[in-house]
Amino acid sequence: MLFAARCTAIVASREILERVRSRVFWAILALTVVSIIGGAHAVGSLTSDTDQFSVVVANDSPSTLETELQTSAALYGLTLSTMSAPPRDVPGLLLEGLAQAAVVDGQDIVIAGPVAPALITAIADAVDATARQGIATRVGVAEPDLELLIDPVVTTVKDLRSSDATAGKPLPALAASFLLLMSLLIFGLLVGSGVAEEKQNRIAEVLLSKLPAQALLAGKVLGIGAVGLFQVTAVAVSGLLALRTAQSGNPAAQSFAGLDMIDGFWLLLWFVQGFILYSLVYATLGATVSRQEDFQSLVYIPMLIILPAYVILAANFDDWSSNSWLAPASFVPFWTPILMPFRLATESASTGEALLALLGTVAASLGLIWLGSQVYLGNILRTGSRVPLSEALLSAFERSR
Amino acid sequence: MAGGQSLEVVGLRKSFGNVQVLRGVDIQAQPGRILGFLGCNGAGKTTTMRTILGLARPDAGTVRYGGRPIDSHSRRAFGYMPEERGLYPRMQVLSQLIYFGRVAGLGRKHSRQAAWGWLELLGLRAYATAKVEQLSHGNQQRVQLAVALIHRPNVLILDEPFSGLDPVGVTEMGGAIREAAQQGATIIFSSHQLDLVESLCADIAILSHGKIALSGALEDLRTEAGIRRVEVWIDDRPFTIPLAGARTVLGEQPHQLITSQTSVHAVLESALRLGNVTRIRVEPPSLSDLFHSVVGPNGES
Repeated sequence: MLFAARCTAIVASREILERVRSRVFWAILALTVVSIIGGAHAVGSLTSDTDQFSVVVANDSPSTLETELQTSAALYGLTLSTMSAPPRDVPGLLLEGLAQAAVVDGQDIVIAGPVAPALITAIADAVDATARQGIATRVGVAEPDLELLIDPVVTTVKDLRSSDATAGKPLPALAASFLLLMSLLIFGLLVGSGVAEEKQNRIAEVLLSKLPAQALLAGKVLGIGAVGLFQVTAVAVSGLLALRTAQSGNPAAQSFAGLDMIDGFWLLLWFVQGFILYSLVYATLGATVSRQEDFQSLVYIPMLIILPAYVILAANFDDWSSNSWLAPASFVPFWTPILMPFRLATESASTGEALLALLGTVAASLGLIWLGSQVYLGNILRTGSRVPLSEALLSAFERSR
Repeated sequence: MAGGQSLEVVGLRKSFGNVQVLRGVDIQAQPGRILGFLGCNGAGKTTTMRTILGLARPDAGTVRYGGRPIDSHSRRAFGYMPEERGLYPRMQVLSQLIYFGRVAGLGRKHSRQAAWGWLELLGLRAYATAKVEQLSHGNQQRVQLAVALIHRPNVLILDEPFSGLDPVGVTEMGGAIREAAQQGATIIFSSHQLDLVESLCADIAILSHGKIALSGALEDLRTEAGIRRVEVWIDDRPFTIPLAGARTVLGEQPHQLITSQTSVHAVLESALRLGNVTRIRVEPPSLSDLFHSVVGPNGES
């Protein structure tokens, strides 16, 4: 066991080092990160119309508040239109989208769903300034002196849609599943073509004369997977930063910001498990060919396996509670990494179910390591045309007997 | 290299589909000696070597090192040079050697030291940071040998190590293989270059029809073969003389093979009857003669 682990680590470290030593690797990563951040800012500036807001001032608030709101908004670069309405009409105006925020009772801010933090700050400043003016007038003290005497007014923010907070949670799960798909298209292919390259160049012969085939496959998957995870993390972090800084009022940004450590842990776990599982499929397929070119004709197979999961996901995205397919499908190991994060996010799966499904994917991965290594060893001496998959699997089972 | 252990292949059988490639192969390779493994194309040399290395599973038979069946741990101390290139084309030479050293069980530091040592020894120091695909064929072959030798293996399996090498490369590689043998390694190498095998190997094993047709110490086989090699030159030209039971071998050095019972005197008498004998040589058969006498003129592939 220790021997196999050491061999796996040696193979994995080569895969990592060879990639991170490449200038192309860093250039592509830098370009991707810059594109994401730059793109988000560009979109943010193009959609700067969203800096125009309507704010309802309930008529139980001081009359000077509207003026203060305009002054404060200008300081934050926001364009504000204000309207006056009775307090009872405020929820309706907000929920219908006719206004983005309201001030009730002179100091309470009411919103309906995520809004730009700058708007909240601007309103809070205006409320504070209005309150100070009122106090200064009442006690006959100059307003600048009042700064030293009293604390800023505490404003509360009430979100009328706060009970729908979980509605946005599937979005990170969906994003993670598409990141997984993208990663498989890039790094899963690297695993498969790497196996084919080693077979084509006879490197596999030298390696397999010293290493267990399982260690060779596992090392390759883990090494390339670690590099892939690093790149995906960099892309995800830069994407989140871009969302937060450039489009902080965007509901999508709010749903990502709402992720806690446990959500993040689960998403990472499914991503890693999905990557390992499908990379092993690619590696097994890579072991059936003698040339890298032949591997290209097999890349559709993992896509065919993963596709139904996305179809089920798409069919259930709006209403995950009614479809009876989603729950059983989320226990199929090849579909678990796509469907279970979604079920967890929509709170339609318990932690116990998630752990059970995770166990299934781990067992499937171990099975694939065994199968892949048998296919590898069974076909290492075969050159020329591609070994049909059925024949490769048959030889693997015969070899194991 | 620890040395001191012999490698035994006993009763090896292997079929691919309906084709029986190995039909009971027996080989014994001694430490400190180089065994030349010969056979025509398709005779099963590579399959035998891959079976020794655990890359092919035999239908029957065993491979033992030091009297014990080989397992994955003992095999790690073997060195292997495949017939075709077994290197990462886009990986730097030094990194490649360090990696294969680690795969063979060396620590990181030890592997780096060994890699630099072999680069120095094989004249590759200047190419340490070059990618393998940027090297000439001969230099790639040198790197491949360094990969096989980096951990100073107890057993060295070399499949056609000299193919495509220029004479300088052949001399260098031959020297490295000899040195490994002197340090106690058990070495098996296959080659179709019989003159090279003859100059390097103390022992040979010839594979024919899936079995070892001839094996043993080369000198013993030459003296015990029951044939002798005769070259006769009349008026400074090679000549074939009429001798009962003699077989004529054409080629760069045309000669005849006679039985050991035929006396040198009878050969000389026959030659003198044909003209002015300017040169006559009667000696034990060469490896090439032995090989052809075993596999026949057309081989058996």
